Amino acid sequence: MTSEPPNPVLRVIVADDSDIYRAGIVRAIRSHPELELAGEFDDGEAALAAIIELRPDIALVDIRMPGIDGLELCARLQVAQPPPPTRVLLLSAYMDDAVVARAREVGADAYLSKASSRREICTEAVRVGRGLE
Amino acid sequence: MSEARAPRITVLVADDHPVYREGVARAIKARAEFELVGEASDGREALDLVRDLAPDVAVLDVQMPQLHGNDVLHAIQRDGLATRVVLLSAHVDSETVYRAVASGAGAYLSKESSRDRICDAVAAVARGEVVLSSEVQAGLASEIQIRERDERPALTPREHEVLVLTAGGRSAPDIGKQLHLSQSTVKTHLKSLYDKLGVSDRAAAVAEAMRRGLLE
Repeated sequence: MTSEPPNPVLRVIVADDSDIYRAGIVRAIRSHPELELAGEFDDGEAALAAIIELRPDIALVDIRMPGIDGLELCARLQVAQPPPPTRVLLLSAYMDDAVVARAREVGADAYLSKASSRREICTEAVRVGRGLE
Repeated sequence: MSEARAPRITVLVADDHPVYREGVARAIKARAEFELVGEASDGREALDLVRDLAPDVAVLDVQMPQLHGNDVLHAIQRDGLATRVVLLSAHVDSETVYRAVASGAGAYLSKESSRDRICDAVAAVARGEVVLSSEVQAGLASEIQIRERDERPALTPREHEVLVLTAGGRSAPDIGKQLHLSQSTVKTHLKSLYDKLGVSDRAAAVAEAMRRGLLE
């Protein structure tokens, strides 16, 4: 049998400066059969470097971080050469229209409220990671 | 058998973001000195649980649906409940911090605080201490300074001179002589001083000016 399994595991990087929130996301990823943790970071700069180096399938990134925030991280990925295959899912505590518009503008693949449950975040990560509509 | 160990500190955690709430709840459960007695996903539920369970400490997100953490704190204080409050906030704006501390918050921390920092604050608040994370301290200090300035009426230099001489026990005619002013001008300055200080006589003006830091 040489065919690939239908659903290869998706590699995920998590970036959030709140260690409590990050630990919750990491736990959710570790307990999800279709997701695998490729790294966790508490700042945008380290996360950006890891995305470029490790080329994960998905990056779950907090919009608000000191230094390079989630929006800036997206913008920089847009111009990275070679472009990483990573799909970025931004997480935001506040989902106002301006944030959503800005997330679209910088090329985020999806955005989700931090009020989402662990299950919702994982489901969205899988959807985005597999390029499903 | 007597109970040898100190009773555990009972803790309630309220946040509408489930991932964050679970994280704080886990941190609380991981410490032997704490007992997690409840979790709430909005401010109204938090207040109901505070009333029902009377936890020693309530850890509340500031930005919650139904009632904000500050509103829950206000109700707890108004009703004289014994529960002490630790507020956690994603946004640390100095006016909110000031109002929380003025309303009797035991702690005000940024949501970026580590698990250990939050747990240490819960223990400290249960002991009656007040804890402010470093991110909120500078903002609180500047808010106090702004409010202090607002409370001090701006006196003209002449009014200040009249105030100082009045505090020294000088009469209006004496002050007039010393400052080369007519007695009626001195009285006009005194009247303006009284208005600015919200008082109606010399003794009260001096006392109020000292209270507000206009006189030493």
